[in-house]
Amino acid sequence: MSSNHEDIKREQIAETVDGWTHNGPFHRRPSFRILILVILFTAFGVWAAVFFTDKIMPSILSSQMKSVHDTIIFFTILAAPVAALVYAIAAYSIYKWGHGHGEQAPPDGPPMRENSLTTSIWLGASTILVVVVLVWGMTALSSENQGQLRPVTIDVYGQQWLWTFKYPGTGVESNQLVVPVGRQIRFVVTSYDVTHGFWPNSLGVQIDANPGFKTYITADPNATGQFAVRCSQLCGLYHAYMDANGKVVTPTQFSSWLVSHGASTTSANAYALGGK
Amino acid sequence: MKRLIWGVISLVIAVVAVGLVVFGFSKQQYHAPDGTVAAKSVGMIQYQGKTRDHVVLTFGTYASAQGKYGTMLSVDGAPNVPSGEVHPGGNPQWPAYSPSNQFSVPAGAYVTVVWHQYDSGGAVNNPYFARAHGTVGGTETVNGKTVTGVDGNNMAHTFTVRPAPGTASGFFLSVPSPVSKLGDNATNTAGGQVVTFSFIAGAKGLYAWNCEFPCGLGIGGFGAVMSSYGYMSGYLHVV
Repeated sequence: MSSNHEDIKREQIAETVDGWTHNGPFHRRPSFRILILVILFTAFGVWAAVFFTDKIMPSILSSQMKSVHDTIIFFTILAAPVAALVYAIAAYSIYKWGHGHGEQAPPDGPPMRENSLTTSIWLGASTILVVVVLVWGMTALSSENQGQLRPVTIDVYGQQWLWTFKYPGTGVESNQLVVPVGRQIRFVVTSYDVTHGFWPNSLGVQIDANPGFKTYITADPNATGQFAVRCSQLCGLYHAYMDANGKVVTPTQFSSWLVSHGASTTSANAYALGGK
Repeated sequence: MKRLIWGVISLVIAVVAVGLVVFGFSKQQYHAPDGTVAAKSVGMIQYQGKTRDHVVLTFGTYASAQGKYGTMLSVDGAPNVPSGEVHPGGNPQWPAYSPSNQFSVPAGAYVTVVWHQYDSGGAVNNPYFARAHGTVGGTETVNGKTVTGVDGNNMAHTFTVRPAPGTASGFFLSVPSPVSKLGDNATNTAGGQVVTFSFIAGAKGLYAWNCEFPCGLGIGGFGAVMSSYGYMSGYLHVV
C-alpha cells in the first residue's frame, strides 16, 4: 500500500471517529448514554440471576426449596433494572462529571420541580413492583405448612451445639436427619437451652427452636440427596459448628435405616411407609 | 503531595487500628497449656479385616481448672502424665479438660482413649448424650466394666466430636463419663473414674469437640465455662 493510500485511509478513519463523537449516538444527551448503561447492567444482572443462583444456593430437594429458588431468581430479575439504574447513574457521573484535585467543583444544578410524568412513572413502577413481589412472596409462603394426611413426624431438638432427631414410635434417636422422599415431613422443633434456628437448607424451610415450647414446620421432599442441617441463630461459642448431616432417601431405604438404628421392622415399616 | 501524605497517614492509622483489634482478640484466645497432645502409638491392630495403626490418647477432666491433676495412667497402667497443672491461670471454680484441649490422631487409626474423670456432675438435659455414640461396638468401659452409657442423672462430662461444617464425612463421636466417686466433693486428685473407649479416626481434617453436659452457668447451663473456649471445648486434629 502506498503512502498516499495510507494517508487517505487515516483521514477516513478520523472522519468516521469524528462523526461518531460529534454527530453519532455518543454525542447524544447523558440520559441516552445512561440508558445504554442501564440496559447493559440489567442484562448482566438478569444473566447472573439465572446462571449463578444454582451455583451459590443449596440443592433443591423439596417443593419448598423449589419455591425459594424460583423466588430468589424472580426477585433478583425484578431488582436488576433498579440496581442497574443506580449503578449506571453513579458510574456515568463519576466518569463524566468527576473533577480532579484543585479543580473547582461545578455549581449545583437548578432545583428539580414537579414533573407529573416522572412522578407517575416512579410511583406506578414502584407500586407494580411491590405488589408483584408481595403477591409472589405470599403465595410462596402459603405453600409452606400445607398439612397433608399422615405426615412423617420428626422431633427436632437443638442444644448448644448439636442437633438430635427423634423418630416417634420407633425408639430411634440420631444426630443425623434422614427423611423419606415423597412423604410430607412435619418437624416438631424445640430447644434444650437457648434459641436456635433449625435450617435443613435443601428442604427450603427454617424455623426457630425455642426452649420451653414447640414450633412446627412441614417440608415435602421430592428428590433424594444429601443436605446440611444448620443453626440459623447465633447461639454461642460453637454456633459455627452446629450442623448435622441430612439425607433424603427412598421410603424403603428409610425403613432400613430405622431398623439399622434400633427400630423393629414392624414399627419402621409402619412409620416409614404408613406415616405416624 | 499533601493528599498523598494524608492518604499514607490514614492507611497507617487503619493498619494500627486493625492490628490492635487482632492483638486484643489474640490475647483473649486460649492457648492450650501443653500444646497439642498427640496420641501415642502402641502398634498395629486388626479391625474389620483391615490392619490399622493403634494409638492411645490420654486425658482427664478435673473439678478445678487451677491446680494439679491426679495421676493419669496409660491404657496398660503405666504412668502417662505424672504431674502438671490443669489449666495454668485458669478459673479455679471451673472444671477443665487437661493436659490440653488440642489432640491429634492419625487418620483412619484405631484410637483408644483413656479418660480420667475427677469432676462432679448431675443430670444431663438430653439423655441422648448419656449414651456412647460412634465408638467401636457402641460401648465404653467405666472402671473396666463395659457399658453402652452412664446414668444420665449422675454424669459429669461428654467428649463429643464432630467434623467441621460442610464436610460430609458423617463422623460423630460422643462418649459420656460418670461423676467422681466423691460426688459433689470432687477434687482433682481423688475419687477418679477411668473411662476407656475406642473409635476409628475419620479422614484428615479439623474436628471440633466439646462437652455436651451443661456444666456451666446461666441458661441451660451453657454459660461461663461452657461458653469460654479452652475448658470444655477444643479441636481434634486428624493428621
